[in-house]
Amino acid sequence: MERQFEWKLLKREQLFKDRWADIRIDTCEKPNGSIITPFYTYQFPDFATALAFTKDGKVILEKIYRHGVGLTPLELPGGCVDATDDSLEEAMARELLEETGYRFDKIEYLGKVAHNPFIHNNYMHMFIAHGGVFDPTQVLDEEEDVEVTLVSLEEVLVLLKQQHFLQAMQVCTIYYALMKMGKMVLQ
Amino acid sequence: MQWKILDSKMVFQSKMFQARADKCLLPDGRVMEPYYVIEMPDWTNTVIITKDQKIVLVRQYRHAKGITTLELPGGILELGEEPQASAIREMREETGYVSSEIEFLFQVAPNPAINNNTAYFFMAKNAEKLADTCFDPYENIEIETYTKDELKELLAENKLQHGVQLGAIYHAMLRLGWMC
Repeated sequence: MERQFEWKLLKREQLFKDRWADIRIDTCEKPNGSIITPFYTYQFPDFATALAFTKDGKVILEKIYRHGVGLTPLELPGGCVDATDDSLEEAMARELLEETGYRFDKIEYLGKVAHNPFIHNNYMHMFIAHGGVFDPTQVLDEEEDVEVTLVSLEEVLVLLKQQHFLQAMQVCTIYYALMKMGKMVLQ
Repeated sequence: MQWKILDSKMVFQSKMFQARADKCLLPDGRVMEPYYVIEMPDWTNTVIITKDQKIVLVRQYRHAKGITTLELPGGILELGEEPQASAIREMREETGYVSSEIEFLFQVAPNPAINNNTAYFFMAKNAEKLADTCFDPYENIEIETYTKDELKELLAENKLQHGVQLGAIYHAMLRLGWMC
């Protein structure tokens, strides 16, 4: 018989819920009959992030203050998928426009990975965005306080190797995009 | 761009995390209150490469996401423990592998907007299974080894599903010359 890994949910409670801090407490039974309690899950919406290129081939990066770590790292644009988004591509296009002011010719899906399946219940969706053109009429989301910066793909490779990207999930997106573009190849 | 913390209080504490509610002054003069920071422990993961050039992965159920995953072995740092010492301890306890060739790969923030913690990644080469495993009570895990070609297939089929660890796996493959 195949080994059983899954746990059976016995009870679920909400510990607290805020816009970005939503934590539930589960009581579960493991396959061997033992009880796990409390098991905390830190719930988070699915989000999308992209290696986004302007029409002339520059990569759009951002500087944004992250209060959890108290730093202002270099990041890829992205954000949460809303219930009102018709598709993942549309969610990505909306986030790119709101954060950077760029509209894109093509938004290419690369796949999804779990954020951190040990504590979170969400996925990250990864994209390459092609042919970005700045729309000067777009009102940027002021709440975000984002500084957009354009760099070459070669600079992104250097920044990646020198470990300037701090956000773990975005490092993942960069590698997926580089593999898809053939800039990195498994030997 | 930095926010100034005007006030800060702990609103929940447990063994695995604590929730902090900050009152922050933003550069444009707005006051954000409350801004919750979920403080979580730092952790390590290790890319273990055996003497016969296989990678060691662990299969386990992850209840938060409700999926069974293949992941790098690792665990949280004990109080006062250095990341590399923690990586060596976790490797021995969780997989039974030991290695005298440990190197630092890189570090990232799993969720820097809301969490304060760091994930440290190491690589252990020429590892041998010498010790007995010693699992935490929460762990029901299977230790599996994969060749370079099998790892390439897992990646190509998107079967490794711990996003925080994937950058480190690619980083290790670059360093091993398994990718260029």
